[in-house]
Amino acid sequence: MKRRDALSQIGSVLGLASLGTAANAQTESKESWEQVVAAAKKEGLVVWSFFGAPGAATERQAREFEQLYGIRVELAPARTGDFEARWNAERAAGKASIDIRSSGSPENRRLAARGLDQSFGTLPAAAEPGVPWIIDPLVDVKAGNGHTLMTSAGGYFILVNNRLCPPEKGPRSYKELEDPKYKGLIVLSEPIGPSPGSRWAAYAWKAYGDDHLRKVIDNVKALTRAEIEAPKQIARGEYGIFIHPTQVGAADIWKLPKPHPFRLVVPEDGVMLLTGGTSLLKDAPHPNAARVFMNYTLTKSAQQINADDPGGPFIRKDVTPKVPELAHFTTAKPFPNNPDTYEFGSKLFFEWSAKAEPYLKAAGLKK
Amino acid sequence: MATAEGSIGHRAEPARGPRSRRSLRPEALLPLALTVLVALLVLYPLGMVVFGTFWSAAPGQPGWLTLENWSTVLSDPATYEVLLTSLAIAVPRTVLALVLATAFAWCIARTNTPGKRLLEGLLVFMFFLPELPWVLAWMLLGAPNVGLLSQWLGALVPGGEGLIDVYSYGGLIVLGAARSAPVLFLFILPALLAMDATLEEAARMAGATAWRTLWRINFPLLLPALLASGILSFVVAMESFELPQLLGTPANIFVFTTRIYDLAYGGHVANFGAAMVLALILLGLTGSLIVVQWRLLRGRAYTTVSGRGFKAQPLDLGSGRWIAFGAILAFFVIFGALPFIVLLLNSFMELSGFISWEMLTTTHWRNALGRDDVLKSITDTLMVGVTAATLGVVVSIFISYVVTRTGWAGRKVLDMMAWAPWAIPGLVMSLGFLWAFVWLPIYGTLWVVVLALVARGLPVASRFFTSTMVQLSAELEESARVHGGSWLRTFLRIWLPLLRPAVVGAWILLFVIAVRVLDIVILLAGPGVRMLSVDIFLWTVTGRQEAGSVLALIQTVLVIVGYGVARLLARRALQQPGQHR
Repeated sequence: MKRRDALSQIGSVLGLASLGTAANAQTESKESWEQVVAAAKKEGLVVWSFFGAPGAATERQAREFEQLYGIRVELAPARTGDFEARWNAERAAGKASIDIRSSGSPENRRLAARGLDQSFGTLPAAAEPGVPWIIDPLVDVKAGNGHTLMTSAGGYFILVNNRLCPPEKGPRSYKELEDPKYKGLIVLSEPIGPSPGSRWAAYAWKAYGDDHLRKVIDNVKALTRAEIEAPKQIARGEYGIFIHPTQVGAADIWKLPKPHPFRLVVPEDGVMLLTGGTSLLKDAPHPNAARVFMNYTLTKSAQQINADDPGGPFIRKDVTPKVPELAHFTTAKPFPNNPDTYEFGSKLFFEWSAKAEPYLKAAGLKK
Repeated sequence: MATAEGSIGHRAEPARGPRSRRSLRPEALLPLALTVLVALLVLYPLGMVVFGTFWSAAPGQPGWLTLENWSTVLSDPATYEVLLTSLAIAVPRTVLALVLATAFAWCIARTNTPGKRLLEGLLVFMFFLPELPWVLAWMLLGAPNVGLLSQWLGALVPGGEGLIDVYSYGGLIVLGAARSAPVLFLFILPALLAMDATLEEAARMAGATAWRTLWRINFPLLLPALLASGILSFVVAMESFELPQLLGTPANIFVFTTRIYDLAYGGHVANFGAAMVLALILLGLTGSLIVVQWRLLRGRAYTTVSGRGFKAQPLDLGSGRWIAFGAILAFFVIFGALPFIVLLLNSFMELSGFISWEMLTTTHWRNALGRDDVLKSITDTLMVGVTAATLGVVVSIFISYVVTRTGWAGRKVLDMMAWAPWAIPGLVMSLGFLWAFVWLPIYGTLWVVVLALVARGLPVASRFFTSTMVQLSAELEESARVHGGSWLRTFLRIWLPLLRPAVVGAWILLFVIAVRVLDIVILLAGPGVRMLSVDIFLWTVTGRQEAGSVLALIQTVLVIVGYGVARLLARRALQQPGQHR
């Protein structure tokens, strides 16, 4: 009994000690974070490059961040190629102007694989206890795969025109798309670069193999590079099935009066998920402001701003999406072997999606 | 009529004087100074592009010298396929655009077609419409079966809904020609206006019909302008990107520029080197056309404006004048008004492309007009547009003068250099500008965008002035010099007044290009420098087409205002005796 009490006492002491250590660490961490914030305020500016145009969410986040910290956010929207061309030239001339880059995670992971990002240290928001993350924001960092911070998640639908392809005719899954009854109905996002079509080709090939890829491509009527326009073409009845919009792409046509002339199919064989990443770039001129901003993007407030956009991507489950039907990625079953990993994003994405190339040529869709 | 000596135009004999004094004159320093300036604006960025083809990575990045980019592109059968496809589209597109533009300009400049001012204004207005929203509007209008035009045709004619298909070779050629014709019209019109009408009158008095006069008198005299416009139009067709990207790809039609895009942006890692090789092949192709132009014009005279003075008498087309009026108006309604109305309606719709009362909203306009960044885009774009157009006109006039009016040995090199920025697709040239200008202290400011736009506008403006200058007799300049006028005074008092219509036309062209162009500025306009064209592009391609439509309309208003101001300032010059329509 005495022995047990003694052990208990030792335990308590150790426990207290460890609590003390944690408290100390927290205090230290808090102090060092305060130093980061102070340094960030001194820098006074963060240049944020992201894929696409400034939208309601990016602008609201920038404004809120400016109000919270008094640090100006300069928005530098750019497509992947434009961003890389500009940033490479600037770095070569010693004039790097961009601090952070947000895009689909394959782009960030490619930056990481080439050593073009840098550590953002500890972010308090990433370590916030009890947050129901859809995916751990530090999944790559913890695995030692570069320094990509995951800041959003999303997923694809199969988009179908109700007149050309009534509900009873399907499709209900990606697998069914190989059925010859869909011949001449499908418009496919061209598998080129990091397009949605490339992701479909990579995932579908991995799950179902060459024959499936060939059969679906045989059913394709046209390729498109206008992924934003394609959902409207489905709604207008130009094509029957679109492979495949994200919830962001589908959000546009969601504005149409109901009943909708289209339907969003959440595939029975699983949702192809994608994550959005943010990288603190090598040679960033305002690294501390960048860290504070990256931390901010994970906060509930910033994530709620994302979720306030219909179809906006987010990474925390504790926010309320504006249109729940467009937030299928939070609960749906992931596609088989959903390979949204570092290795996939940095390398395999392009190797696997290239499997579609010969079938596209054979089907006369590509030269 | 003066006779040219071995080259286009007739050169004025420089006034004699002591050698040491002559070498310090502006006209002696001008060619060299221009060559240095154009080399900085053109050769330096072009050199970066050429270097990029032999470097294993992007310039400035670690790499090594290699021939791999060249061997990869030249051994790839796709290179030749896309070259043939591009030619199959560019040649008929150019011919169609040239025929339309010449016919329109002739009707307006030389005949009694009614409503000439209105028609000219409508054609100029078409030139102002931004390309990307225009193409998107045509996707909505001309998609087979479901396009608005297709549905209207289907309601009129059984099976009519399948008659129009913009996703085809025909669609690319017709829409491309419709896009080019108003630009070419602006090129050809001043040349026709400057043409001495007494030649036509002499032909008519000799019993020639209107068509015979057109063919035997107008056409040969217009040859410099037609060749310059034709080559320009061909180059524009070869480097057209938005049309083939949006309308060609779904129809499995791939051209040079979409191939360049694939190489630069479509792979795992950007292959800029291979993309640049393709761009240089295109430069070689179009550069050879310039040589052809020189050969065709060598030893011929095109002078029609001399010291005699002239008065243009419009040709009477009889009842045909209403047919001409109707044809130009129909062209405007189909290719200008319809897409513009779609653009306007889109800006008031909840969702672009779905036009109905229940989708009506003013949100996009309120959002756009209430944003500080849109205001900054407007002011930056205006400042860049006015500065680039003004500098571009000044530099281009002098280039054209040196090329057509001096015997300077390097004038052909200067002419070729000035041409190059147009002959390389903007996607690639913008990389050249970026890599060249990033080292300059002005990088990151409006000035770097201005420099790139001046370079980009040189071919257009210098062609514009060259085709007009070769029509002007050297005797005007010679008489001024004989009477003791200095070179500068002669230039300001003789040349400039005669060139005023061309100056106004070129300024407007350069202003519109500067305000509208996307590919050249997209890499240079970064944080701190905002351009409307970049905003329109980003908003349009990322799902905010309605907001993009608002900006496109604001951009259209800007160029109309610029055009109006330029015309107002030049009104007196345009109404000089002998240049009435």
